[in-house]
Amino acid sequence: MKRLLLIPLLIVALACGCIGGNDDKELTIYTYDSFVAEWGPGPTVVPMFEEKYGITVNIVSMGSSGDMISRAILEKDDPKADILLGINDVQMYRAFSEDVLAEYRPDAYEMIPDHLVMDDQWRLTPFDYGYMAIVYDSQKVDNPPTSFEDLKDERWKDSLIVEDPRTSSPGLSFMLWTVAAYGDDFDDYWRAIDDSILTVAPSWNTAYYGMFMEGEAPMVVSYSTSPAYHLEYEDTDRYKSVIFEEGGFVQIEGAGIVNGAEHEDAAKKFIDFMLTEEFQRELPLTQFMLPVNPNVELPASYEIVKTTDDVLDLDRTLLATHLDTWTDDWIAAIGG
Amino acid sequence: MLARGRHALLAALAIAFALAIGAPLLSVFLSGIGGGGSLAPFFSILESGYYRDVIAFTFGQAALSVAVTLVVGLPGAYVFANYSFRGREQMLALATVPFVLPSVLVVLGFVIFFGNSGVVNTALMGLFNLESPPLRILYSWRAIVLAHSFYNIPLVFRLVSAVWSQLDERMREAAYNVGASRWDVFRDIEFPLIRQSVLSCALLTFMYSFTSFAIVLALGGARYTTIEVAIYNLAMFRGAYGLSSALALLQIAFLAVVVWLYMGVRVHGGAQGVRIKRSFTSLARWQKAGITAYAGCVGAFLFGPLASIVGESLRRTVHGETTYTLAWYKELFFPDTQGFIGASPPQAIVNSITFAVLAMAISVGVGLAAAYLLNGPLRGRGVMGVATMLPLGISTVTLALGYIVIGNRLGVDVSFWAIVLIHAIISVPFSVRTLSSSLAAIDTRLVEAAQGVGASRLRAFFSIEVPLLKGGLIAAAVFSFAISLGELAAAFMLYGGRYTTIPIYIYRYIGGYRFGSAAAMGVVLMAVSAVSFYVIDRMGARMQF
Repeated sequence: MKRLLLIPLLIVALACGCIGGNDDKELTIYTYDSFVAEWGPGPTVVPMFEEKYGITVNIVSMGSSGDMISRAILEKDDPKADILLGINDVQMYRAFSEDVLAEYRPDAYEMIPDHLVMDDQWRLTPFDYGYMAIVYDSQKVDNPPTSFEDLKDERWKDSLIVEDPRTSSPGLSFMLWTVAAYGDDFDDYWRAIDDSILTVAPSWNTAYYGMFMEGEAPMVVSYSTSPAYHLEYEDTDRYKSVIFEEGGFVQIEGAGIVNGAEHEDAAKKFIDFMLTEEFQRELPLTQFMLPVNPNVELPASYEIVKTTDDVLDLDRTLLATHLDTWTDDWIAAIGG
Repeated sequence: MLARGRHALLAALAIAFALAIGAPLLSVFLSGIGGGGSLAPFFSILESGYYRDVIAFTFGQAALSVAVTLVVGLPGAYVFANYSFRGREQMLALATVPFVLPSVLVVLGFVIFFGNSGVVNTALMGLFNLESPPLRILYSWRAIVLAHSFYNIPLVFRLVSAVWSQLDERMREAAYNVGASRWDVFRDIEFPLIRQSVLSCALLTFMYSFTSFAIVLALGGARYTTIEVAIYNLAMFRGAYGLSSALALLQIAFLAVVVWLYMGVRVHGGAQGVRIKRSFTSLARWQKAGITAYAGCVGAFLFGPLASIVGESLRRTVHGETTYTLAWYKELFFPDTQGFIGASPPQAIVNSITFAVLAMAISVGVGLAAAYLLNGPLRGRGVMGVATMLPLGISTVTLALGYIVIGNRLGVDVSFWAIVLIHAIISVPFSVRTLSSSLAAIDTRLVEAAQGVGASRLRAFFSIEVPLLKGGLIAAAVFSFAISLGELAAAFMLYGGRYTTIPIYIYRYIGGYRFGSAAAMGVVLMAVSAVSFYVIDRMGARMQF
């Protein structure tokens, strides 16, 4: 009698996919728009994952990564997503303080270089990163500034476009780079380069596309990978980058499993998959960021990408407590 | 009977308002993102010198934007209302295009046209042999004011000319016959008629500039902060929800006061009839020269940045060599890439038009009902007038979050209708003001006469007022359509990868370094809007009652 009951139970359990806990057939990923763009990594890596594991991925674009975090916070009590993909190290504290991410350390974690580990508790697993850099137009600038100090020189009057740290993540990373280099006196540094700055743009889009590409100023704050795009698709090495001598600064992007995710096991598989070479080698030419997996061979156009081992350290957990003061100081320095 | 109909309509509007705006805002507030309910943040804002400066700058630049918009726009409205010339309709459709452009394209257009190495400066430098660019407009408050005017001048063209062109020709002739001067005719006959619509333009431009965000940051730089920028900074960046909610409420309060003052000025009537449009040939030479000079300057100001974007979409630089090509357009419509997650570019065009048509229908319907009530004997007109304008002071991002919360709670996917509703909500103020000022210009004696011979109020409304409203209806439809077509922030949050729109594609292309495709998509946006405006104009003109 008991055995008879067991069979239908087994069937029901199998149909639910909850036996053994690793039979999830579905996975919902929230990400930002450029990940799902035609030329983004999404259209390539998602089918790869689906085929490999027989899991159907429901990938939902949330617009910007800031929108994605807000959405996850809103859904905290009843999460719809299993994975948040594309949170960077200067905005992750928002997700951490609202406790929307669960801990998971992928099996291959040891190959990730120490300075790219985002979180000791592994609520986020890094998948790509980029060095902050000044990108310049070599047709207008022969000798770019090589250090923060150089930038104070009056020959750079109105020469640099920066992004607003309040509205742009490269802008925030650049401000933090100056914090890492100058400590609490970083606002004095901003006062010193005020004349060199043409304008503070609200977004990378406006700065790079709207202004820099139109020749408004010969230098713009971007990533050291930007010139690789122009080399790969426009066949020109006109645009080059420089990382300042005081030391580099990286921006890291990661993905994490949502606290209370319905398909936790599928999510773990995806996080593991993100670190494999087949996923990682798609990143350089889709995201124009460097893969965290050091075994991936970079495309030829990446010969123009500057990197450095001398990376300035800034404890990202300080953001939760110090960001307000830093931006207030920055606003005061920039004359807002 | 009459009063009951009005009250039922009012109740319906109030319920719609509560459901479409109140509920999502409340759900965001309750979900904890909205922040607390104490008075302390208000005091800290008003005591802070920094925020006082922000508030003063917000008012100042908005007032200046209104002044420039009216001074530049009114002569154009006069020309569009009084003269018939070849290509008039096409011109009007094109002149409305600036109204839809996403801010990043306006910045691009301004940089290419007014920038340090832009068209104007390069030309001036060549002409006068100058070493450095003479016009330093960008990255200052001047650029902010100029861009706000660029956006809002089309509003003046349409709204004011719609009313101006209804002036009864016989009144003017009668006035001239008794020896009135041109100035007398303007002051005593034309100005009373158009006053309401000029004020409406002033109000809409003021509110638009007051809550401006991306333009202020992009063209002014970080040195200039409006209240809207400060709200964003506090909420999205710092998580200081209490302070940001307080600032958002203050902003709404300021706007409410401005609308309240506006509602106090109530003008009714005017001499309405058939305006006969004159041709240019009847003009004296100096008049023709004046109109030509004006059209040249304003045309360059409005179309220069637009043409710059078209130029950008045709240029390709490979290996340092610039060629002119249609390749970017080919990439839009026949992309090489295989995989699409969500909509392809042609589907995005369809999506954008679908959203715009639906939002337009809702917005014009609500606008018509509200305008009718506002022009009638209604207690609490002021409150209603303020309420219909407030969507201009509400953040679309907050509304979008609210719809997401509600959708999750109900367990339904609300993305599509949430986008439609938000687009309709933000265009309602334009519909209401446009229709209300057209309605205000109607001679009430006509309606009374109709009722006097036995027509019901509803019958009189449709047979007398609605036909006279034609110009206002067309303008309301065009602006609602345009606002939806150009909206990015809410659609970006809600589209979920499926309902990709044209502005989303533009941002996506830029983010992926596809600058040529971005410009081409920008041109597609301009073309879709110009054609749509033209179609709406034509259909509106043929509308029979």
